[in-house]
Amino acid sequence: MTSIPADIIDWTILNEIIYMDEDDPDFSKSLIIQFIDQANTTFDSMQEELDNNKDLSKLDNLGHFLKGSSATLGLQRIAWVCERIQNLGRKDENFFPNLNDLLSTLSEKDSIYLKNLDLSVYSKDITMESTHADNEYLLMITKALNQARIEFLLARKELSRYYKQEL
Amino acid sequence: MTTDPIKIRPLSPTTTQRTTTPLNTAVVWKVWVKLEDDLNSSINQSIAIEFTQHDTVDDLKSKLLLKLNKSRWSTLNDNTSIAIGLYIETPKIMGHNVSKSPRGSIYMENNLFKSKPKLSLQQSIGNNTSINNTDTHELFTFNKSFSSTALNRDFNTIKTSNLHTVTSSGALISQQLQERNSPFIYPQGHSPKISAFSKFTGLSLSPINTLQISNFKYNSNGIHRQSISASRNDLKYLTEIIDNNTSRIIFEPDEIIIRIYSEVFGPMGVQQSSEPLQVFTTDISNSINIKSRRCSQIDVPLSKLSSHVNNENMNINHSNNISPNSNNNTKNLAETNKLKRDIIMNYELRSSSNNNQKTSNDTERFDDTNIDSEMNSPTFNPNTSSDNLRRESVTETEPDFRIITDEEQLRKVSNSIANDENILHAPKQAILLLPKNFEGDVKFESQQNDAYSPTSADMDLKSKKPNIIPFQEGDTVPHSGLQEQEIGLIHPLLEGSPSNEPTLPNTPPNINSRPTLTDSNIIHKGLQTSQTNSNIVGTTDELKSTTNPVKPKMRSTSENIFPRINILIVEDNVINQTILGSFLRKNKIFYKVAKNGREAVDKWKEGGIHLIFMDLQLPVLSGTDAAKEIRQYEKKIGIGIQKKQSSSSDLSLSESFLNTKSSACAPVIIVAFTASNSLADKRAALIAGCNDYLTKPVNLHWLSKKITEWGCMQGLIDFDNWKQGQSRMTNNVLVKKQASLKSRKSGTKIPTKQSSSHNIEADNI
Repeated sequence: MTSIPADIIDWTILNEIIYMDEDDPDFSKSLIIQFIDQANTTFDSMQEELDNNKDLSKLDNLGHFLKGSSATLGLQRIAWVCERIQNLGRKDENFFPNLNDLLSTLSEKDSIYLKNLDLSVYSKDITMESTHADNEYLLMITKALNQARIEFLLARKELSRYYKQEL
Repeated sequence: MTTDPIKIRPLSPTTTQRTTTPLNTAVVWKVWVKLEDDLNSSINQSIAIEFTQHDTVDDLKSKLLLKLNKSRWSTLNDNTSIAIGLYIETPKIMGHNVSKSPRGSIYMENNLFKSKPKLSLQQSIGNNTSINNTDTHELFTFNKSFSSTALNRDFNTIKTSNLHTVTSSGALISQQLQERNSPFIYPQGHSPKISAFSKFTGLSLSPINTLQISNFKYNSNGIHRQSISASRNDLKYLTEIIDNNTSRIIFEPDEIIIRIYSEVFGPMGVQQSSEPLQVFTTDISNSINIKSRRCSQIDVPLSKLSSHVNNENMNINHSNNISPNSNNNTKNLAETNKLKRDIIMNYELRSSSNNNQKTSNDTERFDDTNIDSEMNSPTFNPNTSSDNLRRESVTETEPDFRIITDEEQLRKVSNSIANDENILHAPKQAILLLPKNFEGDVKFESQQNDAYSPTSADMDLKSKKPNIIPFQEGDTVPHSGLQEQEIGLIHPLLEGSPSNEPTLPNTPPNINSRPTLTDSNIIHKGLQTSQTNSNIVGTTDELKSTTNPVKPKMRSTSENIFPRINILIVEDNVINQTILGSFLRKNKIFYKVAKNGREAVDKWKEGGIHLIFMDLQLPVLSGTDAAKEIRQYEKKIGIGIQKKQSSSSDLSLSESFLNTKSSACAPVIIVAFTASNSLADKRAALIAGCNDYLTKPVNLHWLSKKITEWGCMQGLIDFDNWKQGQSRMTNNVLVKKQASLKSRKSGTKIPTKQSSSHNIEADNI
């Protein structure tokens, strides 16, 4: 398992897309908005999968799906977490780091986005009493999903700042 | 300067390899080079550079720079700013050579369009000296950008018909012609270049049958075939005209030194330090500035010719025959003086002539008479010769040229010229193709008479046939069939864009008129695409820049050109679809989108897809499975296998391919987008039948490289269809632009059908 990138956004990647705004103003912004939509939907699907069917391969696919678009947009921390979800779903990995460990890796400039961020929702201990065979993986994926939502909030903050409007 | 001829064996005490080099390995050889740079008088002598069997010109430069490590010169220059070559002969020599040698020198045009205005004027002065040679109008001007295929084809045509033809591709020729007042004579300045060059190598020359030109290669293939080893062929160099009596040859950086050496100097060790290769700083203006030192330099490599030169100079320059042409020059001069730049040129001419005078003192070899005559030439003293001119031109009753503006006529004439081939003693005729609406400084009606003074050879000719048949498509001449398009003057893309060219193609070219030219032009486009990566936009830029004589910049090859291909994007994520789609649209590449592997296979079956970007992890049918499926289909209907007619008669399958038969013969290229870096994924993709992979997130820069790479591959495999695509794109590009704005939302676009009408047209070209 690679370690999570320190920067929320890989601007070299995102700038390539912003570059296309030349022809079509707001092209990149529309993509970001589309992504925000997509991410919310995907997170909800994941949560639903975790709560109900507990189908690991579904979670794998969902993780892979969101990884694709987040990576394309340079949202590399989200992509990293999604890759964890994907691998957990494939049972290629069986561990997900703690929230605080991951947040501590944030680069200095990106740490400012942690301010005023209410993490209480995501930081409560996850205990899953279940007899499900894949309980271990599902637990880790739940943890990862919480991390993904936090990374998503951070990314939104940085993007909102860039586009000078609340996204 | 003491000069011991270099031996092949270890050379000097400083040669460290001396004791260690076995006999049969590459021995250290040396070549003398000399800097041409007046900033640096301290290095005003030949420098011996060691080189080995495989060293290229570029290596030589590196070694030179290393050797001069501490000098100011080396700090001011690097490998790219210097060039290695040699100066070569004067038109006066040429005159001689040409009249002596069989007709049909081939002049290789590479960078001429780069020559600045001053050069062109100087060139016109060169005419003074060369007009006597009436049989030197055989010139093959080849544009650098011609593909070798095209060249070969053209050349063959020319050879068989024994035409003496100026072929041009693109605007370059017109530029040259416009820059040079007398296109008929201009070639003469060059024809001897090769004569001299080969003479130099101790080879006799009969250019028309012996020189082969492939893409900027001087191929001395045919010259005494037995005496030259194969390795000596294909010396790659450019020629640039410095002024009326000098041009320089610049060897391509990747040319092997040993070949240059053996071609220019002969067996190893023959070169003397007094006949070094020149190291140019590549800026041609620079070399003009330092012209005062030029003379001592040029005559060095020509030293073997020097006596011969002297004689000829006497011959030519003191005869009356000069005058008509020189008057022509003054006329032209007056004309061109209207242009600002020409004032500068004029100045340069004078100064250069002064330089010549100066240098004559320095160089014994440079014949005084030569310079005197040049100084006395009517360009500088216009009045002296005008009377002569009048008389001469009155005697000229019949023009030496005919203007042909329709193809039927052209065919007749070229046939008649071809039949003329067996007339050995008459000067050959040339067909000069000029662009439509050709204006320039050339006035055919008046100049023609001036330009070709009646020499004996000319008279001979006149009794038989008109001498030169140019196309002039000026205002006075009605023209029907010939269009610029046919000689590739303007890229079709230019049609809609602002251009310096006064003319635009407006009617479709006649099909049978000159298939060689048009075909070669297309091939040229295609090959250039694959070879240089330059943009189509870049190409048009190139054209434009050639119309601007002040800006002879080399085009960057890093600009992307995208082959005209259809791409299928297989991607389930809308965001990635959008990004890829926008990128392709931005680069005017048609694409379709498939959301999963199943859809991908179906869309591929619809046909017309050259390239598939396949995400691997897809819903419904994974990318690897889709790739496998596609390969199976291909195998089944025999795509990519050398065609067995029967194999494609499988009706159920071939049905769906009927409309795309021609394009379906090449297997589609599948580039996998692997999300992870894992080797296993990539292997799986390749095993499934993908040709290549990119790791996501896809870097758009890499993506464009892949498109170019694979698209061009497809272009080569499936040339006919690709060619159609090329023209389709040029025809539709404007429409597309507008359409693309709308289609951005929908994300798909199916270009093939709406443009079928254009395809027919493209076929006809």
